[in-house]
Amino acid sequence: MSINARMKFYCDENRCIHCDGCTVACSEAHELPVGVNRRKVVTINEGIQNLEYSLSVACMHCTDAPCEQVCPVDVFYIREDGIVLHDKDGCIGCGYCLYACPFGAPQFPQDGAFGTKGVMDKCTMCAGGPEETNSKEERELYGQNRIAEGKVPACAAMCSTKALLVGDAASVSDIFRERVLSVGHGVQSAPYGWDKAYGK
Amino acid sequence: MENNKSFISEFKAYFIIGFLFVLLTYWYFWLATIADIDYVFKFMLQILQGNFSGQVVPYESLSHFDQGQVTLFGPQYDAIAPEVIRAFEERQHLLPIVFAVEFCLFLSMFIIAKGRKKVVVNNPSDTVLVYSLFQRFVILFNIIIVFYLFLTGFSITFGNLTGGGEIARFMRATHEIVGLGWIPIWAMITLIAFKDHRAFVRPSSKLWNKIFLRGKYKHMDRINYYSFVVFSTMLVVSGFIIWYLHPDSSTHAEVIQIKRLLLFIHFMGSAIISFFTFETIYSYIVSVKGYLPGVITGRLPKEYLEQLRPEVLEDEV
Repeated sequence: MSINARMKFYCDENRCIHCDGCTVACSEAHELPVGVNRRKVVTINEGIQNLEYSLSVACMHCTDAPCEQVCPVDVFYIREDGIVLHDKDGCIGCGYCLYACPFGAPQFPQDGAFGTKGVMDKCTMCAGGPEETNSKEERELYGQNRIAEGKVPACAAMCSTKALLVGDAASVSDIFRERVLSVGHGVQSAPYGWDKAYGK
Repeated sequence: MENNKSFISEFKAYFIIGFLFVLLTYWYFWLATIADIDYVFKFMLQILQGNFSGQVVPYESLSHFDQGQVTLFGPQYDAIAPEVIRAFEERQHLLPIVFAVEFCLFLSMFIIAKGRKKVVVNNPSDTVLVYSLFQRFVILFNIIIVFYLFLTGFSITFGNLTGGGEIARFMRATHEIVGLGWIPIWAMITLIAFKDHRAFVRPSSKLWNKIFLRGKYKHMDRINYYSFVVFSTMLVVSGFIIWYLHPDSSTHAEVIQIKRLLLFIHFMGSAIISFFTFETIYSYIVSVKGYLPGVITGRLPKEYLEQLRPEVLEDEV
């Protein structure tokens, strides 16, 4: 990874089959409570031939993150590699980040009295939080810190069609470019969808 | 014809308050925000027609790319959402100025009125029960709750001062629950606000005076009550829906835009109601000596009423 790496997710809509494996892997890896989904899969134009496609969406770790700008208690911080994280101890659960986020990434458990919101939870790109790396506190509050262990985030690692790409933006871009260029080359007698997923 | 002793006639006062309201709305939506006002209008019209999604043009008319965006993330992010970011900054910087201006306004009023109204009371033990236990409960509880909602609401807005953490989080959470508890009190105050309305028929003064306040409103009091009703309704309705309508990952796109709009209405209501809250504090504590103890105990000296509120004595109990 270069010094100026910007860690990004990218979901290849030609490959995503809406298996929800990424959502389940994320929830399982981080032991998320029911009702909190750091990642979701949405199918667009469902049932319409040639127009239907699915996308896996979570926090996009924006370079100029609106959640970071709007937070009244400044709990957000952006790491050098571009991963947007937040400090749950400081979060007051006001929900401003939810209003500001274009992707609906912030999640709030409604586990308080009369269903009041708790502190915000969102995708950390499996990079934990401000607590000591791989400590018990970090694990309890933010889930696994797979990035510190040199691993790919759980969702991308789980993705069976490798639709979900993650890593340095330049590398992700290179992989996608290679995929686009390989369309039309490869095996001829392929099952349905194979050409889109892996090229001919 | 009864001599109008107030400094301003009722209709003039309504006109001025109405004009101020329009001006403040204009300021809020047009000048202090960069929201796409054309979109806001269309959205409001769609709400009246029962479409709460924020999608103001037919979904089918969108390009496939735009349809994808709307399905995934909700309609027209650029129309309102960036406003949350700006509103946060604006409120942090502008609200203290608004409060300072309001304080100066009431200070000027105090100076023009030549200080507090004073009443000569020679026999303080000769008192009249003006407020029933129920009325005192409603009035004082309303003041306490609104004060708490102000405090906790602004602890969110001015979060940089609190720095977050458990106490600030507790205040934010109780803002929602206390707001919920405010609804019955707000409903009673709303009823009290209309006690002088000409359409309000009182079949029995004895019964009605136990529920509603004795005496007649002065014009400014009535306007103050009506304004309180307008802006508190804005706050209660928007606050309740914001609290109740909470999107999860599967419903986000459908409800986020209406939540964004309601948050602005909530912001606007809280900014404008502060004027009337100042007015209440001014009239209860500052303008007349001895009024607040009367509201707390329910009894006011007879001489106090004779000199300042003779119509209360005339009203049958």
